[in-house]
Amino acid sequence: MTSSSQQKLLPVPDALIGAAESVLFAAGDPVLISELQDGLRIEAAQIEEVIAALEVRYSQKDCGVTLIKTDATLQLVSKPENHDAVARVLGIDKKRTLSRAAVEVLAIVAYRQPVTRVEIDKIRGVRSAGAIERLCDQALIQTCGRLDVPGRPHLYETTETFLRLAGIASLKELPEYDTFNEKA
Amino acid sequence: MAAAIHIDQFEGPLDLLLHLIEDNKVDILDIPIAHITAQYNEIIAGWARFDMDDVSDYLLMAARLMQIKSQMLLPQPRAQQSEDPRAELAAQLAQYAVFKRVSAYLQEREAAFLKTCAKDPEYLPELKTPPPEIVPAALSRAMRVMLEREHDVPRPQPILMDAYSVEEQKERICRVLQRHASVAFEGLFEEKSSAQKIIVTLLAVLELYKLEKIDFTQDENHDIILTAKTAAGA
Repeated sequence: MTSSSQQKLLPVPDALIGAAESVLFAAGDPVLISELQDGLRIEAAQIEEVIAALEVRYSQKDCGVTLIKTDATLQLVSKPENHDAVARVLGIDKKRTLSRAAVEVLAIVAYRQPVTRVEIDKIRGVRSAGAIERLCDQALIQTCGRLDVPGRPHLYETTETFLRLAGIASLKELPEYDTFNEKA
Repeated sequence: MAAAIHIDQFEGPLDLLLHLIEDNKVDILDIPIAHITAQYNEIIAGWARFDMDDVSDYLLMAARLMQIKSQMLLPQPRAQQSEDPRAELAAQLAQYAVFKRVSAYLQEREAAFLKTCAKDPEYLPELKTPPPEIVPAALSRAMRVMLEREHDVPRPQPILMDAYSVEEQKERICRVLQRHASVAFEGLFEEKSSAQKIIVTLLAVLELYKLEKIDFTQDENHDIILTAKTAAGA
């Protein structure tokens, strides 16, 4: 309630950390951090502590799960390094879902958002409507209003799902555009 | 060209051009346009049998390359320090090359992402929003309104057997008209006939008229007089 609690962080009770873990386990899907915080009836500073505690625990070698964290959501998933074991036992075989065209469009939207289809087409030198539609279906990009020019074309931006796929918490964590610019 | 280059290998004309530039180990900013254009045209000539939809973007680029080539052949006026006709294409290629590198990076990230597994949720996501809160008083009020409304609805009435049928009445009217030349509509009824009998009789009269078995006239008292029509029909 008071701002003083922000300065003096109370140690988070172990039970709260366990409760958060249980919620994330049961949910499977990404959980909104704000909803988790409300559900545990704690403050913003405390939820950060809870997340930090979980991250420390999951960084242990003998722990098989990890968090996919974005600015808005948390998701409990198996560790990538254990993928072979998971795949062998459970017969999971996840195929790539992004075609080359789709990944190119995604790259352009990621760095040029909000961006219109015409701009995407121009950068790629080919029409991209199909790839854009598929990315929208996969919820990796979404429309975000229209550009105020004749024809009022849709503008596209990346989504929360994109952040999880890219393994970043927010767009700010994308590598600088210029890092891709150096001459090979 | 050693091996045939397939259209599916490329994401478009820019992709193909980048491939040729790499293959020839030339600088994007200083493309030997005549050489590259010749190679480019040679490749897409082999694609003529493909769908026009797939090849049209490549043909457009071929035209553009040819235009740049011709511009470079034309002598430029000295005074006019016009820019390199290849500049725009070079910039576009450089930008596309950057996004190809971004794409490679995202594909790596996707591969890593696909190695993580999440379990299915224990809840049905669409049921996650809690049902709206219901105030008991509001619920009882709604119930009362419903009960009151029920009073206004007409109660179901028992269905009475038809005491009279149209067929019966038709026969009766015909019998009456066999004995009398004419009969007043009112004369078909007793002193006190039920509404049902009147309605059924009227229907019978109308039906007989339709069948052209009877005719109507009206007397000075405006009474409706029925007459048999058999004579006229004959």
